[in-house]
Amino acid sequence: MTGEPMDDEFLVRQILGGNRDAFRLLVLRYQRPLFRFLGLLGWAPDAAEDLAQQTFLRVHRSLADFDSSQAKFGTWLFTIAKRLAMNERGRAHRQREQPMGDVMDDGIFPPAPDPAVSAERRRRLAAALASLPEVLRSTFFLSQINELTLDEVAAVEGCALGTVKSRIHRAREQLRAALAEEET
Amino acid sequence: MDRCNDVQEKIAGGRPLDREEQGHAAGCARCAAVAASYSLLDTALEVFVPAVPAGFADRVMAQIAADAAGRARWFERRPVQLALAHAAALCAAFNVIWFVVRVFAADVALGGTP
Repeated sequence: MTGEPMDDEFLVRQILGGNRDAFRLLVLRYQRPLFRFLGLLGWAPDAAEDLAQQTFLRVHRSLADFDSSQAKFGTWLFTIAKRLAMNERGRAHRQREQPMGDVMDDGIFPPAPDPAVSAERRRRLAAALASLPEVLRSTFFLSQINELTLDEVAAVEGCALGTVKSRIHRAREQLRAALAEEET
Repeated sequence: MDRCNDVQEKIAGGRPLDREEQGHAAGCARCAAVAASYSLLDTALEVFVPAVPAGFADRVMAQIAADAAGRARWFERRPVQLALAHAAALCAAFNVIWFVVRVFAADVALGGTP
């Protein structure tokens, strides 16, 4: 033990050196933010688990290609997760040939366990989330992951920091307005 | 007024307020109202976050182990073995035909009748 914290890059080097168990630490570190991201994107728990597993599997397979001088590990992981989620959503939509709202009504959003948030409020927020333009959705949901800074969100999205801030602002305003509308 | 704008911009953008800004938001009715409405949004969003299923990391590690084993022994996969068997059979058939053709060709060249 060197006494240094086991940061992501250290763990990646360990895995590439043959220590497969080090990957488990990365899974434990990123599973919660990944489920958060996928849940906010609208995936039901079962589908979110499938996608999260696919993401970690893809990350493991591509680990040798990861270049820590180009991006932080978390940024790279969420780039992969976002791409997989978008591909999967596109495939699901093509199969169903339904607009987003209908997919949501089929139960893609998980049931809410929090009784403090009324069913009507949940429904309206789900509808508002679903109606956000794709570019706002992705940026906003990435910003909801505490593990990513806004600079890292900008790296995943491939846009400027100012653009990220603007998208977050617009998304939050639209969602807040949807909730406020309910109470007026 | 600038102060209110700054604080409300931060709240709307989901950025954390420093201690001084928090004090302002608590004492300003307009900023407090904005903070309350966005706080409601943040609470409501949590409803859509699924919990990590128990044993998830174990399942991922098992899948990775299976994937690694599968990739290491690719030649043991049935489609690969079938393809190799077909290739070997084709090669053998070609060699037999080639042998027969050469024997007959040599026979004819020496004056025999095919």
